Amino acid sequence: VPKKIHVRATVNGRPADFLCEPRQSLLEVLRDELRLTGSKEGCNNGNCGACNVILDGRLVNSCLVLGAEVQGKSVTTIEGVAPAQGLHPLQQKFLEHAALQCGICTPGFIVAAKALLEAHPRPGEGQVRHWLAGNLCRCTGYDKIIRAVLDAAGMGAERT
Amino acid sequence: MTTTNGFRVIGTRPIRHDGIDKVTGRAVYGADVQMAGLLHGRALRRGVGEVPIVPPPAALANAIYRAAGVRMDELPMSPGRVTAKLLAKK
Repeated sequence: VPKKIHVRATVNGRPADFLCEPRQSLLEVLRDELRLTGSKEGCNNGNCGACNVILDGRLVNSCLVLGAEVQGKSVTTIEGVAPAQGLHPLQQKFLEHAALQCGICTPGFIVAAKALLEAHPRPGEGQVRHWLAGNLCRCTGYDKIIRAVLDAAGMGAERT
Repeated sequence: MTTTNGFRVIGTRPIRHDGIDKVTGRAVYGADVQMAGLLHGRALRRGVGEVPIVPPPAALANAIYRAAGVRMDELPMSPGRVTAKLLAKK
């Protein structure tokens, strides 16, 4: 049995301590050790974006980051997107635009869109499509998602 | 409640009932559940040459024995056969 590493990080604004094996990904740590199962494992190889989290302000696929790498860093997962009361505007607009069905890709899309809006608060459609290019959705399609993000940014998007 | 068109359902845009759980990450899917004694399975497709190659099946049989407590003594070690052994054991 490999020696476990003690890691101290900040997860969704709170201090988090965990033990992980050197080979464990951040996604495994979040889901299996910290029981934050909002981040999904779609492909486990960086193609689908369902496991997106924000690591020290940068959007990453948590399946491609090792748990041990987040020592001293700050992680934001889907569980940390909504304020204490109510929903984040992105979450509200995803609902209003019916931008989800099965919901497996949704946490990744919302975290990626949040990273986008933090970097570019007033994005154009091309910019939204570019930032969400790393997220795959197999049921809803992308137009409703793009419109939800544009609407959340106050960039006016018609509901269809 | 009736809408302007006189219908209660037709022409309305309800927000899906499971939507809030899904956009907040609270929705619980099968893969999110951990139960005591949960047995994890992985599909190992029988491939060309499985029968003549001796060491890998032996190692796999040992792995299944350690995980599930049933001894597989026949190839291929398909999920159906493992399940049958598990049921027979009970």
